[in-house]
Amino acid sequence: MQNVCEMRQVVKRYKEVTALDHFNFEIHEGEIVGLLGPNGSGKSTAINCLLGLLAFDEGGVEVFGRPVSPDDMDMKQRIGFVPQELSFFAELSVADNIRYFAGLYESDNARRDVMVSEAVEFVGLEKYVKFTAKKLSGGLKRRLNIACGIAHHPEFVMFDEPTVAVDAQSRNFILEGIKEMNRRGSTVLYTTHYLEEAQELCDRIVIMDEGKNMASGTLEELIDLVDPTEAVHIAFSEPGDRVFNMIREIPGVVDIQEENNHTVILLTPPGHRLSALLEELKNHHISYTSLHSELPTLNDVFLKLTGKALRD
Amino acid sequence: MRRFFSHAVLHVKLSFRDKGSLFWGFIYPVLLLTLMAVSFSGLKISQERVPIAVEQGSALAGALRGIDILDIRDYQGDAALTALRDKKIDGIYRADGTLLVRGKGMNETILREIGSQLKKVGAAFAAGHSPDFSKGYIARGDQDAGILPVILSASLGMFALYGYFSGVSIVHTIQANLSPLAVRVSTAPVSRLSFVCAGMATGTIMNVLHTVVLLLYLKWVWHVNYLSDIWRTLLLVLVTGFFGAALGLFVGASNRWPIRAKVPLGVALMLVLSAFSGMMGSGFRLFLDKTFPWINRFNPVNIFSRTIYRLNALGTTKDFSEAVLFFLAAGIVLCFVSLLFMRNRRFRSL
Repeated sequence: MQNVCEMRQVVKRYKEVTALDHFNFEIHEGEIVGLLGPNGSGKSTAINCLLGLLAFDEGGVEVFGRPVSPDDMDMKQRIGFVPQELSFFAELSVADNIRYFAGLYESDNARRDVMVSEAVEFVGLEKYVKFTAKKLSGGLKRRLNIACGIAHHPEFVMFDEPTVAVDAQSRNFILEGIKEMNRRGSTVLYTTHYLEEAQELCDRIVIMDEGKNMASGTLEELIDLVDPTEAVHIAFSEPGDRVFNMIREIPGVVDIQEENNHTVILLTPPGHRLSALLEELKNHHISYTSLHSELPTLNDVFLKLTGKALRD
Repeated sequence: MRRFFSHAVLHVKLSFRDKGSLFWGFIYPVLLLTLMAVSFSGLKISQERVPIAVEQGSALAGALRGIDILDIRDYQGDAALTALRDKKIDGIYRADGTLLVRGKGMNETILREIGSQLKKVGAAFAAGHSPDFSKGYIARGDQDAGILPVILSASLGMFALYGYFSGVSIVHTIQANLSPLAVRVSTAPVSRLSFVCAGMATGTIMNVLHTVVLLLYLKWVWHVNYLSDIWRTLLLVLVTGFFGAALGLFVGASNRWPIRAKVPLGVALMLVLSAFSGMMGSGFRLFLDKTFPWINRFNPVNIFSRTIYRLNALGTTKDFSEAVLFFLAAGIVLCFVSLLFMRNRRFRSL
């Protein structure tokens, strides 16, 4: 599959701070790739390098097979960008904003008007086209921000944390919209702090920290990278050594921990051992009052790779 | 060319839809000029005639009757004193040459000044001097005796340079290292030159519109006509607006200060230049003209205010061509230097 963009050994320094440290990364055509990382990990720096706006010290960046250049108008024509900050004209109406941004890519008035209508419909702002942008609610502003970035039907769209500070309904609407864009043929790069969004949306995930690519792959591939376990929380009717000794003998059990009023049994590989455990409990007539199982999540992978220390 | 118009339409829409721009462009100048006109036109505007009585036999009676500001009532003797006590009149010029007033106030001061001046003239006659009233003792040069035209023209000069704010705004919308909006616009296939030219054109035209509204306001409301030489005046307003926008472009492009710093900088700069040109009164300007004459020679506000005054109040085109050339040449140089500052499209930091 052809690469839409590629970063090879990119180094970017801000004086003493290394924002990108030999960063490698690529996106294949038709993918939705999530770029995850803690604050200050270099996500926005990477995006700005891809956009050709930020100079880097070493390495190479290619988009659509060509070295990225701020003067490459053909490349810009094929790219869409939805920035983290709301980037439209607050004094203009919703329609005027989308029309202006679409007009930067499409000079034919008729085609531009079609783009505006489609973008308005796409983000669900039909009722607000005549509203002044600054009077919209936070969620609607986010949607307008997206409409301005995607109205021209770009082949490759970069979303830089587009769901910051929006409610659950708007977030869901935005994510569904991105999936729909992808179905229509756009390749998507999506950066976010919300791991569950990446888990839900992305075909492939890249985790970066301190300017480096820490890991990349599908969710399953990432989970496999970090020695995963499935946590089964059980409240036994009569807990005791007999029960724990019996459980320790069951294949796949790697640890047993006592927590508040229940026991946590760690199983590996995740998703394959729970039925065997329940069968053994039944065979040994061990009763319990509640049970639930937690499979490893992207959050576990993320914290394992990037650590739990607080970031700036 | 189509993109040029698209950018121009954007700038025009922003100008008309931004309530802040409308206020600072149209309403604030009118308010400030009104305040200036009311404050400095003084007696001519608000002073009513001062009611007085003149006792029979007063040597000043004839001269007093010839003064427009005085309203001479027909009271004599005790009736005049009663009228003074009842506030029907503000003073009595008595036959012995003294002035009787009720207390201290504006009208009483006026009466005292008039009495004092008439006595000085009388003393001059008594000493054998005989002024020839058919002769003009004050030769009219290019200085007006009144302070109001100086202040109004200096204020107009300040507002004529308000294109500055358009210039700053243009840079902050297209230069990616200055604002998030500029980052977004820079990711699109936009010709920077087209964007800047459209912004400069609309910024200049909008500024001409603001200034013409002010000139019409001064003409119709305050009867100060700065449009008697209309075509030269419009040309002067146009090139001054262009210079202001170019100055804003230069300030916007030459550094990475945020726009919230560059706008107050512009406001302060305009106020200082206007003060140098006489907006805060002619005394400071006269002091500067004597001490540092080169300041006002190159002060754009002063160049504008001096030229518009000469064109319309004195009817002379002296310095007009120089002023137009100065604004045009300086504006072009500033634009050129600004575009040099803006030549980078890829930045060390955003």
